[in-house]
Amino acid sequence: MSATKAATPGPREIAARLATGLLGGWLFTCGFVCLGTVLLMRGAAFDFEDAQSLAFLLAFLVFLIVLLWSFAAARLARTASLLFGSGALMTALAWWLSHTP
Amino acid sequence: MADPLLLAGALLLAIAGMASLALSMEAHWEQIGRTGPPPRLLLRTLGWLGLLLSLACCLAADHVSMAALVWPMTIAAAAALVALCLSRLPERPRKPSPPPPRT
Amino acid sequence: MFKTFRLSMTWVHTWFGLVLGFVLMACFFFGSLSVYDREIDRWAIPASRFEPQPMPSFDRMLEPAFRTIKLDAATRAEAQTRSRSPLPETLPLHEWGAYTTHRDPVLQMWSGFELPDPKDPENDHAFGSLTLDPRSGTPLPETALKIGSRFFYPMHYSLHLHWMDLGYWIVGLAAMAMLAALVTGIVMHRKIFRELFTFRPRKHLQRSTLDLHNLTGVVALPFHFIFALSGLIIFANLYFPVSGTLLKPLAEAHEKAEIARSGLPEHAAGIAAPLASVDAMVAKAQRRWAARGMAGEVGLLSIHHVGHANATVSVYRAGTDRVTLTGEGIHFKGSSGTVIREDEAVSAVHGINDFITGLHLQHFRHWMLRALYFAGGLAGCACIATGFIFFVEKRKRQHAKQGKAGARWVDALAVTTVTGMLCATVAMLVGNRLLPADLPLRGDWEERIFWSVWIAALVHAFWRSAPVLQGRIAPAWREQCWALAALCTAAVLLNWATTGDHLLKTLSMRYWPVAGVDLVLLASAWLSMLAARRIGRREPKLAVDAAQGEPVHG
Repeated sequence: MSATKAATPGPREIAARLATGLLGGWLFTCGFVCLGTVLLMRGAAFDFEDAQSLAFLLAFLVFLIVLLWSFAAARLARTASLLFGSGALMTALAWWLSHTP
Repeated sequence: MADPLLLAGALLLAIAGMASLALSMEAHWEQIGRTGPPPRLLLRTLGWLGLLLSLACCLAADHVSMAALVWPMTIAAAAALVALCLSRLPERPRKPSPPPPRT
Repeated sequence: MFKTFRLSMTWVHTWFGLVLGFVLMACFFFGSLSVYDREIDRWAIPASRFEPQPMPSFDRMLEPAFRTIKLDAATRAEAQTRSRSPLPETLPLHEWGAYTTHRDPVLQMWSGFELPDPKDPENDHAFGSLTLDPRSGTPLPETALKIGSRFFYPMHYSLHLHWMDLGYWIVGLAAMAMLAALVTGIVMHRKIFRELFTFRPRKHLQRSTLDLHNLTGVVALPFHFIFALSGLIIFANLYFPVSGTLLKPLAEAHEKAEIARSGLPEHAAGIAAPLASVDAMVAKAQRRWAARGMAGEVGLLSIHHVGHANATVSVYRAGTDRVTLTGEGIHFKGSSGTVIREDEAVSAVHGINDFITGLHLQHFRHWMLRALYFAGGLAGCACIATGFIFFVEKRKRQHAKQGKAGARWVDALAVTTVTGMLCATVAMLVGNRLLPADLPLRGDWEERIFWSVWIAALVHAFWRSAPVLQGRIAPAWREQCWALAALCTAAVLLNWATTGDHLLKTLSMRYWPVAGVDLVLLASAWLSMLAARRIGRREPKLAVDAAQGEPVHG
């Protein structure tokens, strides 16, 4: 992003930021909730409901942070790959852990 | 809800505290017609004291989980009230304002 | 995208605030009304205008009333779609429930029936309901819509848009936008403490609007943030539906363990047995609560597997003395009245969750805190409305010069969402008083009045906002303010005319639900009139100065 970039962003950039922030953010938070729940159950001996509750209590603050980051970040591609990538990874890991004893 | 007197006290103390904090700012100190700098340390101490006493009243009036909500809401209402009262006073005079444009 | 962090946060604040602000207005406004939802119910249903009563005797009054509950036509049709074979005339009974709060004179009762041959065994219940006058045991007509608790309250979290839970998702997105707007607002507002008490109404419109926007936003910032966040947490299961999908085995294992631990049977025994005296069980529960230092009234009475040998009766306390959602449920064996179990203390996480939920749902008894909640919600509405006005004021002269219509459309939408929504709300109350009492589907007609007046306000707003194209104020604001003043006055007068409960009477009787609604309506009428006159005075003035290209001072 050069310093001479126009003050108002174009529609494509806005769409990309929104997709990253909202969809990527939601996916990342979903992964956080799933993996957080499973890890709390395994690592801290929480029961399912307590583990999920704690994950939910933090989830929306996590979502808020990644949402704002998607708009503040200088390099969107890096943010997007991080959010979508780790979101998918955390979700997959949580699914695998919950289906294995 | 218990003891309306304590809660009324909480509100009045909050208003006094917020008013004190507001007056510790030069812009509002001058609004009440004073010249020169406000006694900041005194007003700020009185202000925070008012807010803390308000908290004490809330804790005495209700269960602590209830007071934890009543107090922030009370001081917020107090701040809004003080701001609305100050808005009715003439604004702080700065440099003399430019003459109105002639049409 | 932006040169600095602050510029990017400003963009987020402006555009998330603008786009989702229209939804947030509805959430905050109807959320504020929801603080007094049951009081509004009293105003809308004159037959329920009496003092709240404790839960009446089950053995003498509730049981015969429960037995009269049937499924209504619409519910039966819906249940049929979930059933493989035609439904019999009377469905087997599964559960009974009765619920009351310290603000409800009437009792809400429901009966859960089982579908004998369901398509999906997990979705095999259908419910009939009844509203009871606990003084006499007579039911109130179900067509009387509880405008407060059944229309305004669900409006604020679902927008009455149930297709695919779309309304819930839109509100969720709006709540996230609120959190974002608050945080980005802090980033943008440099002098947040120094300007905490700053409100300069005599400066030009753009400045005084921004002052008010900052004041209402900052002073109640913890309130706005925590209400948006707690609302999201309440519906977290919907926004992150992991327990039914990704983490299903964990959730199911937990549920099985819970059922085993609770000692409450999941399925009916199939052997008939009569119910022992529920009144005796309730009395026992109240003694146990008092012994624990938590004396209280019954909030919820729930009976499962009615008529079977393993029926259970659960008695929950109305937790009006604390913020946390508590139940202190005590569970009895239905056929004998012996205690199976008392709900034990919850874990720390559960407690935090209950506190946050209880803070939002407000089951507590505390008239001052409720009044402050109402004020806080209205402050949120003022923050959003001034945000719209600031957005339009800042851009309309520029757009006028460039021949763009953006400011005009935003202004029209703002009128619709601010004055239009208020007009629709009060029109619904007016309709409630005007419609014939025995009109079938009366509630549906009241809802139609609400939506049609809102649409009419939208059309009016768009039609009467053309002056914004020249950088002037749209007359739509003033005109809808006058309409609102007229509607509010009409509602109060109609209440008097149709029920005889005029303000002097309700004030002398200290019947606050109806007196309160009438007083707020009158205050709203007066404020709308003041606003209409003030806007009317500014309209030509700003026109002159707009022509000269100068912002107005004073």
